[in-house]
Amino acid sequence: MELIDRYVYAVVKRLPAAQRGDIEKELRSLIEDMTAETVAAGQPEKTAVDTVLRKLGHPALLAAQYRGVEQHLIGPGLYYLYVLVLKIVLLATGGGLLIAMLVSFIVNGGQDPLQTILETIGSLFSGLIGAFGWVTLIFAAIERYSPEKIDVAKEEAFDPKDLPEIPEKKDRIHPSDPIASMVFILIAMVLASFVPRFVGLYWTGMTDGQLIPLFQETVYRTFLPFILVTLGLALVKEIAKLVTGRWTIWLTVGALLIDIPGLILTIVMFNHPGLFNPEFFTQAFALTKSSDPLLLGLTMPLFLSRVVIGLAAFGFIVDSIKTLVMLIKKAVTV
Amino acid sequence: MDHDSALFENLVSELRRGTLILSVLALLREPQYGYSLVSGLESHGISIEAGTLYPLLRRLEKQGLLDSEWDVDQSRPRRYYVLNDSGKKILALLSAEWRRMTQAIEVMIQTGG
Repeated sequence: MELIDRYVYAVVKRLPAAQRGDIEKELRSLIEDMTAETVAAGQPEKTAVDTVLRKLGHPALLAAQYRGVEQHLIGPGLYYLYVLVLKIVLLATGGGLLIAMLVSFIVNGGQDPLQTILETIGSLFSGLIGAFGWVTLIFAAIERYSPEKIDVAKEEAFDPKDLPEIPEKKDRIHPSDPIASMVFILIAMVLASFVPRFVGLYWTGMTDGQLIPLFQETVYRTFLPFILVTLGLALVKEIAKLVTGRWTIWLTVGALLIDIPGLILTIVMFNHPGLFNPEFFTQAFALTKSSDPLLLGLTMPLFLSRVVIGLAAFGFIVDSIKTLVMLIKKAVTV
Repeated sequence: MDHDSALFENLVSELRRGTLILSVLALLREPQYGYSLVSGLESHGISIEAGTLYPLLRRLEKQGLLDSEWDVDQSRPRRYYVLNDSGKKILALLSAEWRRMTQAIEVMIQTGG
């Protein structure tokens, strides 16, 4: 009977594969039993199946009964935050992309407006879908692996001693902190992908309206994927801060570890001899009528690199010490 | 009045939900397949949807209270469930608890305190 096949299929496709065979067989025999009884009570066979299936109810509801405890990709406990983060991320990404496209249009000048509009729509589409995917992935991971998740299935006895301490004021993370950071990181991601080409010196002296970029574009391009991954990791950190809401040991250590790739990238990138465009500095110093623009143009990039690496390393060392102090404090109090 | 009767139906089904497992275990001292159990419960005035009972049987089996076996000798294959040893033990304990509870509730209904 085709209708029975369709009903049984609609139920078992919603069940784990391992249970399907058995439940399908059992369900089929149940439906046949019920149909036989309905026919015996005087109903024609054609409508009997219909009656029986109606009685069994919607396949999705029946399957839900079989599954028992429902599973979530992102459960009700996290859903509110998920939607909040999603809104921020989509707005910041969309806004950032629009601004980047506008800047690129103005700087490039003379570009076909239609082409610019089409490109904008294209990058908005892929950018927003990408942002949506990442946020969802991160939240699904938190849902699944969060150390503080209540494991109802294990039915561990609840011990009031395990209740978390009320976080001290300094341990609390106000949502505005990670939210602001997230917006900042997202804008940085958009800028990193689009704008560096246009960061530079507008030289209106000898040549007309020529742009001298700060970075060598080919070198910068090779680093770009790593920059984006690093910023993505920073985004993960901010979301974890927002979800946890206080500085736990997990979060503090995790936040430190997640900064390491960024530090390494900074060191590697700014040690690369070809990162800066030497011409940029030469021209810049020529503009300021320095005594020896050529020499300054050669030494300045090195100096700048040292400063950037120094700042990054300093920040990391400060964070490490902070984390260490916190861990020692916790170890002492426990 | 309509509201009252709907509320009453609700409360009855809530009351029944708690006792359902005990009824099912009681009837499964003899092997039964799902639909015969539906009829068996019905004959005692306890109506249950097959869509509720079948998942319940699988859950009880998973919890280790029931054993099951396919019988393919009949006109259509049927899965028979029956209490195993730990199911029998649980049934005895649950029955004792049930008697204690009904007595206590009876006293409360009779004397109002």
